[in-house]
Amino acid sequence: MNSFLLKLCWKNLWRNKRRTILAVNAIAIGGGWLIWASNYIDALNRQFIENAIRYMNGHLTVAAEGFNEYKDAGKFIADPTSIEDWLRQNPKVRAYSPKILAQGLLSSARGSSNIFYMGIRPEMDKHTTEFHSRIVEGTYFEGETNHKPIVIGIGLKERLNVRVGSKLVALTQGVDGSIGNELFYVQGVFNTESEADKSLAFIRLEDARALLSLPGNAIHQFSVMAKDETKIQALQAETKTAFASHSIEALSWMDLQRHLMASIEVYNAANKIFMFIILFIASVGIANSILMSIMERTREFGVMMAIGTTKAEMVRMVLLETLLLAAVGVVVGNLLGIGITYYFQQTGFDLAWLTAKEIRMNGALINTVSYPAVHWIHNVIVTTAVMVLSVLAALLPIQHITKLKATAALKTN
Amino acid sequence: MAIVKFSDVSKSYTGLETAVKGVSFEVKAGEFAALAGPSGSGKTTILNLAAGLDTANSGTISLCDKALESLSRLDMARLRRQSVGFVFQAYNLFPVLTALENVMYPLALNHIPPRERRARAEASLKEVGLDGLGGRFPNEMSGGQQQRVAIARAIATNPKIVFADEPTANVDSTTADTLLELFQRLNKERGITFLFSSHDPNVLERAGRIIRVKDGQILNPEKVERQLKLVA
Ligand SMILES: Nc1ncnc2c1ncn2[C@@H]1O[C@H](COP(=O)(O)OP(=O)(O)OP(=O)(O)O)[C@@H](O)[C@H]1O
Ligand SMILES: [Mg+2]
Repeated sequence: MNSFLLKLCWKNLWRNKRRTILAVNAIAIGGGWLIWASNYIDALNRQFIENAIRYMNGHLTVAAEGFNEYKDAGKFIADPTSIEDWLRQNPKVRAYSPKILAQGLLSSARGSSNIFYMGIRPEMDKHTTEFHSRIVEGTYFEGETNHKPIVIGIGLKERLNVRVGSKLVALTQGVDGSIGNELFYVQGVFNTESEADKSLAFIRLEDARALLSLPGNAIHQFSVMAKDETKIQALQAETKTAFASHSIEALSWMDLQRHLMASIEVYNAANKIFMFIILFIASVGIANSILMSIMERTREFGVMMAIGTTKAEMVRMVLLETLLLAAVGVVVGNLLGIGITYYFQQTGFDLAWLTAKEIRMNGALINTVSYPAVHWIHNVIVTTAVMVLSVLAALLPIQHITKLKATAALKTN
Repeated sequence: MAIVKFSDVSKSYTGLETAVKGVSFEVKAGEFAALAGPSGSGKTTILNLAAGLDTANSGTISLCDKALESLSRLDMARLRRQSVGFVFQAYNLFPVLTALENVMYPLALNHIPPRERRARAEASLKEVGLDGLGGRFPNEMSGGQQQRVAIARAIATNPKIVFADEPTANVDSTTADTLLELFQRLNKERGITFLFSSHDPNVLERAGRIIRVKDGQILNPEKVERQLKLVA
């Protein structure tokens, strides 16, 4: 194919400007939207993950072996000192927080609820979770108190019909089989607009230890935040080797959030299917536009054949015309996708425009505003998909050309 | 030497009626021959068969010493692009290309390099009297001018023969006259063989030889030639 024929294809492409622009628009809008949507879904996934990390277990959880599977209170780290020293000195660690987890009943004079108790050192947990920034009533373990303080979720507060200062009774089974029974006073209420609001309460580490009758300075786990997110796996491996003889398990947030990862994969798969459908529709638009254009030019193809153009050359011209059309569309689409993503990268995209409330996934809180970034891989995928589909779209017009007889073509006007 | 040679050629489109029946004739190199006959007599069919655009049901056709029935479609296209020019009644040109580009098209097919392509196309346009109009698009030219561009395109590749199917049917008689003069000049000066069809007596007057067609058959070919010889 020489440049002269390429020029002819380009000129033919624009002979019916309206039709071509319509087809270009279909690809551009479809492609641009997909690039933007993919970037946005990436940002949303990123946010799911961030929230899973911030409100749950941090980047890494170091616990007694087998603890995480059933949160069995009996599986505790009897002496966490050596691990704590190691974590404090590790340059890869940004923050860590020792925790004791208990399951049990929390009752007020008006009602009771089966919940998770999270025993923490408030000052340390501030650096690994975000609950302290979600306090809507009272405080987050601030000030001196003679009582045992408890910070509960707003859902739990409503269920138990209590206020800040109300008395609550915690009831659990201790690791030694005894019944743990303690009095707490509501010190703060958090609102994360997630499942945690109904089923989670924070108490001090030592109070949790007493509630469960845990020995000495035992804890269940450390939640660890890495300095560099890309080094989580390295930190995990390091921890494993350092405490290989300690019956310790070190699990990353990915290990713990398998359901979250699975649902992200489902979203991604759905997006791909959606992408295929959109691009398929756009390519039907291409096929239609090119086919109409070819039909209108039947006589010209007759003349081409009469003056010695081969079928192969005509097929190449039709294919080239189709690819040019798709290319124009996909270039505009890429610019659109990048432009929209870039715009919302600056301003933030608020999903609240579409849904009234904050969104929850698997109990994790999702902020509605996210800041998508341009991920070039989506431009590559969409571009490739459009070009491949446009080759398929060219098949129908090409078939028309291969079947065309010169004498019949010359009879048309 | 015969450029076109039909031997007992028949062609039927439908299988029932026969468009061309047992036609035999020759067009020799350098001839200026016309196919004459009423509408539906088979002129277009004969030209299409001669150029290999259609295939005969029986008989043999040779073009530039090649037996058409033995050529592949690709070889046929190559033969046309190298040795044959074509001029139709109307709508010969690609509307998206300028006059010059239209003339350049067959040169591009023959892989003539761009600079030479342009020079030759310009020379062709000059030869048909359209010097300076190369930048015009077909819809910016008169019917006669468009036909001239088509002729320039047909001769740009230095073909052995130009087929023209009623090249003057869409223009007035004065324009028809000048187009025929152009044909004649190209025939004389460049030695290009012409086979064209027409049913216009004024046009046919200029033919060096008339092949009369009626109902798909050639009327007394020997007699026609003898008459022409007598006239000459
Ligand atoms: N594609 C076709 N299918 C069926 N019959 C056809 C076809 N093309 C031509 N014919 C028939 O073949 C015969 C010869 O047609 P042809 O077009 O060769 O005549 P012509 O001499 O060129 O006529 P005109 O002067 O009107 O152009 C006519 O009877 C015509 O009806
Ligand atoms: Mg005809």
